[in-house]
Amino acid sequence: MTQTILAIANAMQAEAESLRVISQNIANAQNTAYRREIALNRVAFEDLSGAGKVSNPQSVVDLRPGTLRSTGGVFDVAIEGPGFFVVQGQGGELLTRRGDFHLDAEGQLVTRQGAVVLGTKGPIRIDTGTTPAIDTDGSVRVGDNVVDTLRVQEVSDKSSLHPAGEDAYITNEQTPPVESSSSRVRQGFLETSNVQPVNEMVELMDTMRRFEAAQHFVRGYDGMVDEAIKTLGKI
Amino acid sequence: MFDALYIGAMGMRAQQSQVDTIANNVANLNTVGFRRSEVSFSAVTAAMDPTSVDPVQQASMAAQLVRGAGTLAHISMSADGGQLKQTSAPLDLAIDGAGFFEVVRADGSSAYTRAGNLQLNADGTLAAADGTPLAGHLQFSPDTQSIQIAADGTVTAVVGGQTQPVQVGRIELASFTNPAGLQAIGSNLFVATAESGEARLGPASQEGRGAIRQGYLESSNVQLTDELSSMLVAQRSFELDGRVIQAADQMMAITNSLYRT
Repeated sequence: MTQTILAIANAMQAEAESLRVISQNIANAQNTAYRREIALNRVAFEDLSGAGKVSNPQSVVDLRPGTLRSTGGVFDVAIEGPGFFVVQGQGGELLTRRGDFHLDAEGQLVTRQGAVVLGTKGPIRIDTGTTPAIDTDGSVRVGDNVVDTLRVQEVSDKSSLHPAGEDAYITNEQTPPVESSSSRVRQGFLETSNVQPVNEMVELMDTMRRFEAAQHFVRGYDGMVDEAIKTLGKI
Repeated sequence: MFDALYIGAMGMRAQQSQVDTIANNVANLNTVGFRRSEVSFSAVTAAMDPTSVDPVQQASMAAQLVRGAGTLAHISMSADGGQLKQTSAPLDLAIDGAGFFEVVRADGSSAYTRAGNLQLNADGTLAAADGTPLAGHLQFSPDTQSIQIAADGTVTAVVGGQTQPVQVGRIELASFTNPAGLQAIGSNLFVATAESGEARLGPASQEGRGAIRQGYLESSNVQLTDELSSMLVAQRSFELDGRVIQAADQMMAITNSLYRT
């Protein structure tokens, strides 16, 4: 009896995890280039008598692109295509789609959170007072002088991409990212998040109903056991 | 407990600061040289439980240990220029570029402003609209007849019965590597921060600081239509986050009703 109840309790736990993912998506619906997460909860029954186990709550990143919004900002860049900008994280290189860059106090191109954006020659330094132009191939020009080229990489196995905090991602060591040839950089644009509030709301309703159904199941099963005890007690 | 409850609350708080910022921008629609504040959101992630993992594996596992935990709002200054409006008043100055006027506060520290509606204090020193003196200590004698300020900041004045102008001094402008990192301290003043970098002082019209235009004022860079559309989005997002909190609450109620007495 407990095993059946436990299986359902695990399923309910998984729904609570789904709600966390939905709330995270909704809370970040206005973030530049935010990528929504999809909850992956696999309930695996080991055998018919065994309790179902929810494998570690996991979520994957939904890589569908957002739309490009024109801002006109000199350091606002967006990527058309599957690529990512490469930035220097604490533990190594990270990937991000978020291109609302600015210059830090030393004149280096950095992300909103202050991580250094990497070009082919390392950090990109821009003299103040100059207005760089960024071409679709990622080259950063001041006048006719090419300062550096923004590195744009893509990943072959999309499921290997994991959030690493601050709107950036890292990949598994097995599938390192490669330089992207099919991506184009757009200056003066920012990418919106790919969260669709309608879809999240439908997902939310779905999650709530599954949760409710699980609750009814537990109560029904409990009633059944109750009935069995009473009936058997009479014999 | 249900993380969704806190994530939803965090989202509401972020939208709240968006609305506050919009209110401040709209209230300063007609403030001379006002720079609007911009809100940007970024996702917050939390480590799940790094202690349970073998440290050798930790580097490769790090990614899996992070999961979404809400959103945070950051407020920064928008460096876009406002429009220059002609006023023809001799002490109305506008900067046609990225520079800032430097003023000296009562405690001796420097602050920076774009507001060029200057005035003379009782002792004849050139000061910002609220009386804070401009750096460079430019003082005019009481019998000054006219003041000219050139594009490079050179200040000349015709004094007393003379016909030829004499040089009084020069207004230097400050520029910053990252003006968006300046911190607003009220009265339309900004102070330098580690994020903005140190102020670099120099003559106007050089290194992108921009020329000084006498007889012009810079209007605020607030665009009412942009603010109103952001307002609508913020309001609806606030509502959406509220729904998530309701759903989390409902889920807790369902959990509590699992046990029938």
